[in-house]
Amino acid sequence: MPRFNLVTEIAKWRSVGQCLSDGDIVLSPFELPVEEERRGDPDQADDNSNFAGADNLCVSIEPSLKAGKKPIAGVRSQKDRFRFFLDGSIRTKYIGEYVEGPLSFPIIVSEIAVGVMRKDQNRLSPADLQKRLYFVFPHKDSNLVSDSTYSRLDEMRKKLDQTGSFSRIEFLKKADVTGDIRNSLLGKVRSLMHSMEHEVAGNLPRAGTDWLIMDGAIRKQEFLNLENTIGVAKSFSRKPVFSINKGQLLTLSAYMRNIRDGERSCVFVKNTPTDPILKEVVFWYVRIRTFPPMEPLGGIVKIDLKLPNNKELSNSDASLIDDISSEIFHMRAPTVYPWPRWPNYIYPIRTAEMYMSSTFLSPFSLSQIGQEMKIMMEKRTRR
Amino acid sequence: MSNTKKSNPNSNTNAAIGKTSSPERDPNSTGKFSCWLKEDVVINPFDFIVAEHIKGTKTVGIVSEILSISDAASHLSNYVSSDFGEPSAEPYVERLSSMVAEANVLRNTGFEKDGRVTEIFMPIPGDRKVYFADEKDIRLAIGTDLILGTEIPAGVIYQSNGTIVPVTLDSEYTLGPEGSHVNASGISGLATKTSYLMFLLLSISQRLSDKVAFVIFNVKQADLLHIDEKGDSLNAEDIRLYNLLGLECKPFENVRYFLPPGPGGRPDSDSPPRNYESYAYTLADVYSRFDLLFADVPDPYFTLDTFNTRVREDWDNGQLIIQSQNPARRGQMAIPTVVRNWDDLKAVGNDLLVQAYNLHPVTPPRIKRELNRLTSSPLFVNNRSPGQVYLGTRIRDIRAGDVFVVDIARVPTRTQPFIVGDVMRSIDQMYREGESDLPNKLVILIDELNSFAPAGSSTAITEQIVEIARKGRSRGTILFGAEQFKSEIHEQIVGNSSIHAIGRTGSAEIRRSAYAFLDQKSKQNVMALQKGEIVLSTPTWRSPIKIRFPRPPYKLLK
Repeated sequence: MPRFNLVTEIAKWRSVGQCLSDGDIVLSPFELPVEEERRGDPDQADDNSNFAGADNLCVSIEPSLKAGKKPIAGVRSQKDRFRFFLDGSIRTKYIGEYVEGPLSFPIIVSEIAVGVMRKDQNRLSPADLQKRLYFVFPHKDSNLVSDSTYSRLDEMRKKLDQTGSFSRIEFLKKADVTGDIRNSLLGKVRSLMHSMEHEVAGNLPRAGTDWLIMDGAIRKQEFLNLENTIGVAKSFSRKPVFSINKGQLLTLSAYMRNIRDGERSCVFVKNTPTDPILKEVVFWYVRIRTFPPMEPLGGIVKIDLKLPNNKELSNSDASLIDDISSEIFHMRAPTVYPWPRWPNYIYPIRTAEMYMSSTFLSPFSLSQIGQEMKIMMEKRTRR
Repeated sequence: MSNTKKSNPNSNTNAAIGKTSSPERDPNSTGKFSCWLKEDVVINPFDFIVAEHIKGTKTVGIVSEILSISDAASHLSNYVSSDFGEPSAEPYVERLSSMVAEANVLRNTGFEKDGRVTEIFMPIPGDRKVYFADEKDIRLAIGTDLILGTEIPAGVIYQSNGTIVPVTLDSEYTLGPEGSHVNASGISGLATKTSYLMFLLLSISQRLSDKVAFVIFNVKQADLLHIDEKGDSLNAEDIRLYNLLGLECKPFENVRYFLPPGPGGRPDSDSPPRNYESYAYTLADVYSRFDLLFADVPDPYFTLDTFNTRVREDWDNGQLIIQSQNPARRGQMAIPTVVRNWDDLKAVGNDLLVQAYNLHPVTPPRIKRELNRLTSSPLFVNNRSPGQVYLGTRIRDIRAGDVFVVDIARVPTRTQPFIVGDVMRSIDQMYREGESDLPNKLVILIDELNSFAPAGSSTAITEQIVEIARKGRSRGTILFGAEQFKSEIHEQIVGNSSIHAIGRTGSAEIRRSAYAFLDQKSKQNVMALQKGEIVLSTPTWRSPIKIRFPRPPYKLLK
């Protein structure tokens, strides 16, 4: 990771502002980076897209599991398989609106961090931390930016990429815009974060037996290249319905209501997957904690595992899944109580989150970026 | 958090042991800073640490508190983590935690500008490296470079990383004129307070023998009756410390012992030393100091005071003539009486006293009863034997480098204050008169000071000791007092003592106002001191420090 130097970065932010000097920025009156709050739970939103529309049926590939659940608390093997715990985090500031003649678009800047914790015996230590700051602008194919401005921004992007800069520029193509442009820009940032996660995960110094837990679902095709990796999501879609041994269909809440502490669900696949990822990934749920009064999904985590031959679970795969489930179950302590959604958290992932947050730019610094951009714009206007 | 490549941070004083931390909720200030500590660092209260500061300076601090913090938001978080109160529950991983040391700021190295060194007392920013302080840092922190007078070795600082640094006091703040008097307190047996004062006396005697003399009152067994004889209790560490402090391992020199007489002409002392003089009091010695003799007798109507005054005023040429003032008034004249000694005084008729001193008839019997009680010991003689001395006279012979030890250990408790008060008044008198060959400084060591100058007392003896505490700084009469409870001695003595040595002290005592000069965390640490450890506070240090000192080189009776 390039060494962060605020003075150098401020100079780059001003240069980005210089690229926009054909127009003007109407700065946002809000100082705090509250952009993420507009979008709701991103993990759930990602997972919802997997079960959009009527195609939400998931079928069990464990016909032997008649009750639809299995106790796993006591089956943990002596050896801990999970060595690394990876999480990504974003802090976004809506700088304001760029207006150039009849064109305009929102400007957002996002600080993205990916942190990894390593576990040795029962101790955690930092394993890796990568951070970047992204200005995300609409691509010129969106017709929201003039050719000359785009050209300057693209030049600047290349320059920043080549120097391995902390601050970077990315573009959102028209094809990736769905609905509100600001939400789409945030979606782009999220995609950038996932790419960074994959990059970091791929570079971890893993021994053959070391497993990795990534926070959230396995979301990208590239993730499938990572061996010995699972995704653990503390929030997930409520949309899927489940068919267990061709019985009555169950909604997620109805199903999870019967899963107790230390039990896992059947392993599922989507019945008719269209997304190539879902063709290779199986998933199941583990209840790591019950503490009434708790909503049915409180204390439940969803686990994704790449399992290409997933028509029916083999004994060895079932054994692996039991073992994974058991180790995840034992990750319930220490808790992060009273942190929001604490029953669903596993502690090493929360530690990775804390590690990242401790290195984020201060909200004040982030809120000043727009001011820095304007300094150069105004200089050019005066000339 | 664990570190895969571990070194021993305590083995190398140049390695950073942590970094300063100044979070929103507990920011560093001008008076204190906090730092998290690298794993495996062993640090304790009173250790000196040094932090990098702005402008290339360093700030030295002394550890006042060490906190173990974790990311658990509350005790309830930990309860929940342990399966809602199940002690046998095993966590998957250890919680994120760290040791955080809080330190009181002592001194900054300062930066030079235009030929002037300016210290920085701005708060230390966060993320600055912190190290164990080395000898140079510690000596700076305790202001060795600012010492005005002579450096008096006062003990050693043992750092938790093994560094040992000698500590010195400024004679100007110990023996005047900038400040004076030393007070030592602490739990009996554990606090080693008398031993510490004796160590300081030894230091002073070796550094300033041409200027200072000592008067020591021995109040317990024969503790201080062989201080000129070489002892055999020193071990290699003691000798090492003496060398480090630049002191010689030798007992006191020029010591003279004064012992009270006992029955049969033998001294009334535990284990008398080889050479000594016996002291005793004739009426002629102390006729003017009856206020000291009757100090513990209640005198609400000042009748005793009248008697004392008349005796003092009427004494002439070695005798006191008591005669009726106004014989016609009573119609019958009592026979005048000549008083030359204690027996004469006790034999004076009550009627004569009533008539001569205009007393109420019940007063003379009371005076004589008290006189009998207080002068019944062999200390009070009609005529001194050859070899017996009066301390009030002998004290005038003291010269720089001399050590006078007055043994009062076996003297009846009711008489001990009189002996102390009499010596103190003699000293006060001779320094007031300003005799030419007096020692420049006279240090008076009184153990169990609370017996002689208790809090709230206004007796003549207390007033005499308070007078020394009040005026001694400029005059050169310096009080070294020791007691278990500082709160039990007169507040003016506490207030006038510039140096306080505190051994282990109980929680009830340490909360009293006499210890107001200690902050709350120092008080907490004083309660946990070990035997032989002393917390030292001086006006020139911003925070008290903890020291140890070697055992005495003189003979100790077991």
